[in-house]
Amino acid sequence: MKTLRLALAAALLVPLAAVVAPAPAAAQLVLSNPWKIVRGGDVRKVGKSDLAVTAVGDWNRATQRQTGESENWTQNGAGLDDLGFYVGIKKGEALFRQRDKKKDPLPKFDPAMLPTDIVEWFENSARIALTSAVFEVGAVRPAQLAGHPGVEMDFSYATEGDNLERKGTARAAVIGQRLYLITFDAPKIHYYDAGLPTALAVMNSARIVGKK
Amino acid sequence: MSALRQLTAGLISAALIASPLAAQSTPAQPVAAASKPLPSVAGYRPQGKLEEGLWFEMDEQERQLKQSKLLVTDPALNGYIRDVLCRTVGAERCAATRLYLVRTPYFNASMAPNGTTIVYTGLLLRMRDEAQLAAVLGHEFTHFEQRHTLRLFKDIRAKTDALSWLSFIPIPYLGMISQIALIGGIYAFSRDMEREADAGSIQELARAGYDPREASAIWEQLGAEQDATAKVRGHKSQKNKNGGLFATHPKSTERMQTLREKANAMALADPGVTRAQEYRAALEDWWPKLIDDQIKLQDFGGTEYLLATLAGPDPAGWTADLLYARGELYRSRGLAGDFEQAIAAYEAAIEAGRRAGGGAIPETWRGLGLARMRLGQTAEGKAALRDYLARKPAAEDALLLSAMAQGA
Repeated sequence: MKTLRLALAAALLVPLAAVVAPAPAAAQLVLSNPWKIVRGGDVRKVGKSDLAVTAVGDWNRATQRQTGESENWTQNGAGLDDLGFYVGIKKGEALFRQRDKKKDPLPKFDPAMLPTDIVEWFENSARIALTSAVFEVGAVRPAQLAGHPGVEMDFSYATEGDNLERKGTARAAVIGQRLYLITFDAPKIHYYDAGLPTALAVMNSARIVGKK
Repeated sequence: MSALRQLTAGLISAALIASPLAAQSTPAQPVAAASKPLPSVAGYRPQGKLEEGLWFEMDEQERQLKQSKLLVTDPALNGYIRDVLCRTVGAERCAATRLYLVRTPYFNASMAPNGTTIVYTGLLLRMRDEAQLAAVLGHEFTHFEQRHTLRLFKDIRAKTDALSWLSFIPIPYLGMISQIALIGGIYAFSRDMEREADAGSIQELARAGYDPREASAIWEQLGAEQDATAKVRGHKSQKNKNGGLFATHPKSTERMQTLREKANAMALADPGVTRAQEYRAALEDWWPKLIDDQIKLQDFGGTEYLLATLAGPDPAGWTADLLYARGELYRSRGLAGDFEQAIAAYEAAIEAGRRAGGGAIPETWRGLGLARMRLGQTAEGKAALRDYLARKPAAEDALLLSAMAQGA
């Protein structure tokens, strides 16, 4: 099962190793990937950035980061729902961790991008990272993130070896030449509809605060 | 497919653990005698433990594949590809296979030992005519009928080479579609098997009345595309990577030469048909989606080459669709000078559409507007976006675009 959160080689190897490697090795891998709890009402600066959100409901926060500028939360477990924060992305940086910079480079962010370009950039990045062409952006509308004008989009995708349809909603804005993006994605069956209101509530709480 | 490269590297240690286990199983069977029934014959059952094991594994994988959300289920397109296969190898032998069309924007196809046939949509985008599709299907069918996967499996077992073993450890997480890049895919076989499949392919083509010369044309196109990708991305071309198809080794060059000469000789007797029109018609509905998948890979060099080969040497070959795709390609890269190139392509698309009578697709105006806005030509850009919205008011991003198009 490959999801947006798992769109990185290191995470991909975890379930694989668990299948192939003997039990002790698998156990070590699990231990090296702990989760920390975020309680409802907690205010947290996500991804060590200047973007703060207030948790609505309790969440599990992955301490393993895809990039220095990202953070992922889940309520029911990675693969069942994922709230991803991609924050403070600078000009020339990619959205996800580069799997193969030379032969399969991810597109780079440019602050000159139009709102529609952000949507296309998100889709292209996800398609390359997930190695799936079954990724469609649906409705796209103007939105606000942390009080700044931006864009909100719905998307759906499927990856191989998972056989589940997934749906997601993402909100993005360029604030001070940097990109801020929050995504929520979950299986279309039950989890997307069940988790979306809470996820949107967390997105609504986003605001820019001073960096410490 | 590059995820696979990554996975392969990461799994080396796992393979080392797994290989002693594998070595404990039964010793390799002697190579099947030529008199044994072919797997393409109705009612064929796997012969011996090894082949039974392979079939068991492939049947399991096929069961999962049937559920995959990556399958293209359009009955018309599936029916067409199946018809081409059956026309190429004959209805009787074709009955031993089951076709699965997978939405993946790369060039690949495979036939598993149990008859599971996988065709990537990226293959369809790259074929210029029906004869080329038939050549690939005939090539893969020969691998299947000659049990090349089983032979490869036996060779590898005899050598008990841990790294090669790796490619035969089923990776449940990956599923069959990705695994065909490792096993049974176009790049997997040895030179001798490739020679056999080449020979088989042109024979099938000739017998079915297709132009046999199309077989070698495919590999030349693919090699040139991989060169183009590598050139723009600044890495070594992948075309010689696997030693099989494109190796610089003299034997492989000779192999291409042999294929071309044989095909030319056959074509002298009967040039056959390419059925380019039929091919284009069958792909018409899917073409915009397939080229869109390709553009979104952000493989600038490869895509540009692909568009140019699809257009052909005649400037009139640049249809409104191809010009639109070229505009999207440049706009999506967005480097210095790219937006100017994109605007020129969109305008040429509108002109080509007008000349041909059908008009360009509405998205051409969207691309034109966005490219102009990126260049600071705000008023013209907004006008083009409004033009697009008038042509396609129900577009998914209509709300966002109309917000962007407000004001002069």
